[in-house]
Amino acid sequence: MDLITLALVAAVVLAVVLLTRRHKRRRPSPETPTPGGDAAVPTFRVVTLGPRGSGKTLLLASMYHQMQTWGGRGFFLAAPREQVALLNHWFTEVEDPGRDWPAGTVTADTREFTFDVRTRGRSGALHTVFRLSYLDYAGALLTQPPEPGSTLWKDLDDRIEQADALIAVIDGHRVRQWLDGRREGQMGLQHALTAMISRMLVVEKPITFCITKYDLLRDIDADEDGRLRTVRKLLMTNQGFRDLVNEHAGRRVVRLVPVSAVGPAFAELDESGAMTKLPDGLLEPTNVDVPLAAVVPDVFEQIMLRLDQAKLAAEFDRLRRQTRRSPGEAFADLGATLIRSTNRVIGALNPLYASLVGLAAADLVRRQEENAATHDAYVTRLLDEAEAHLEDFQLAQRKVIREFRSRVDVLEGRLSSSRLGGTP
Amino acid sequence: MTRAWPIAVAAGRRRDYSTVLTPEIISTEYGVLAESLSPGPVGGAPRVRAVTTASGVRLTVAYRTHALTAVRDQQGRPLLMMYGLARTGTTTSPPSDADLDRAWDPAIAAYERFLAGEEAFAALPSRAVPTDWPGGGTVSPAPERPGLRTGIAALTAAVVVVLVGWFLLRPGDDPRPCLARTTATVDATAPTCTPTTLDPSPPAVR
Repeated sequence: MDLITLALVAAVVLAVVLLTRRHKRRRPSPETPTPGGDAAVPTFRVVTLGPRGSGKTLLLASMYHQMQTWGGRGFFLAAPREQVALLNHWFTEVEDPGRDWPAGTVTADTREFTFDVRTRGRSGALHTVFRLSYLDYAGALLTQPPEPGSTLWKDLDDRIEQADALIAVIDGHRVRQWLDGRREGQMGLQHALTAMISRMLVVEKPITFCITKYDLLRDIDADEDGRLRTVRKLLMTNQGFRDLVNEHAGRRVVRLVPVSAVGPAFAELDESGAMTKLPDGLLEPTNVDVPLAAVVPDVFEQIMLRLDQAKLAAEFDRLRRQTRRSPGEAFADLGATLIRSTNRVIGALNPLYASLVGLAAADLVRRQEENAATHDAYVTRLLDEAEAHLEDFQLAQRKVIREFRSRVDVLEGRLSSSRLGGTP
Repeated sequence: MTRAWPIAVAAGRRRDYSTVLTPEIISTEYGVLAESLSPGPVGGAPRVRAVTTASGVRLTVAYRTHALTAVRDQQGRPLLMMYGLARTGTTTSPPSDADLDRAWDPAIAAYERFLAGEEAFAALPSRAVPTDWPGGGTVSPAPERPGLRTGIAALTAAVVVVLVGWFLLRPGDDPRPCLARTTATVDATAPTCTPTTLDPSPPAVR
């Protein structure tokens, strides 16, 4: 290599390095923990997809209203003051029979809500054990062609790419119309499904399909699971939905959850097909907490699904042999390996959460083994030992994961049709 | 005297919030209006927002939020329309109520046309009207184009590829391993390695 060539190559490499560093300085990576911030609290990012009028915002308001207090659970949600005010304002608009429904979300009002999942540790101290960031946006970004010069649709695609889990909202009113043989129901639902699925097929994240306004479907079958089976059968006639369920069944957690933000005795359809509040309606939200409760356990479950089973077995063998290390270190090591192994799928998961992932993985394996009656006493003992050494914060974290998991299990036990893919 | 253009953003029975009336000067990039205008309290004070289009045109928009009581969407929800005026440059002060009132007729006329054909509707361009809207410069320099940085990076990458390609493929460079350089000291006329071509002329010693 002559000197001129060498100088030219060096100059170009230097220019690229400088440009890259400048770019990085201007746009800090979202994965980088904020200095001085609470890096030990994992944040799970959720994006909700759904067409206009499908009930995304109502679901969010009802979900928060139900989960902002203990309500018999071992945790509750907290949010920044201005977000609480907005969510409560929406919910008040909904629950007051004398007031109109809230107007639809305007494109400019795309918002990210941050929910702290809080619980008490053994010491009695309150801990924020997780954060859930929840993106609420106008359905126009999903189903309408972008206007000239629009940029938010690209932003939505980026958010989907960065999300840890997706919630896809299916309008139960459209399902009702389709079942009643009305063409607008079938067309509306097919259009929405196609728009959602084209985006969801390319990113392999856990998905919860929520059928909103489920109270409108209560008369299609007396049996609760039979009702969900009917809806599932209808949805499977959409090729995209069928492909998503069939193609991804083995490696992606896909759920179908019936929800109602208001319950069966609050509103009814009028002659024009619009929802009208009943004057003495009773507000009884149904299953609105499930989509959010499913996020964290589904992210962990998907990590396990995507792992090569031989590699997983080898990792657990390694865990068993690590007699010199403390259980806490052993689980952190396991978690770090699992995160590395699934980095492309769970790219957003911070490596700092290794211990949490390791423990959650071991919990999941123990649960699966218990189900399969091949219970591994060693892993159980290790988990119990680990529990004795864990900090108050980590124990609180684990307690909430188990409670999330249990909420999802209860639904699956009651409605076996709710599991579409990634069955353990 | 400041020139300003009527604007309107609203939802229809089926279609979500869309730009229905746009200043003619941004008629090819009006998406920024629907993406920037958030409704205020119905009947409240006008809101003032600075917006910048994808090509760098800076506008100030002052608008009111109006409840469209005669029409509802398919779900039975109320509909809102944001209407007002846009001007070039930036200012934080709104125009007078009398000036804002002038936006109502073109806004509602555009909305009626929107309702008549929501699915295929594209925003209608509005003509400028003279106003007494005070403050701010009327023209602002276009900021750095968003694509510029990407262009520089792409150009740099292309230069690297060309340089590396040139370095690897330049004539006389044989990628195959040659004999040790010490052979050159034995006989300057002898090739140091077998030429890759059938050219009978002896290779030049460098």
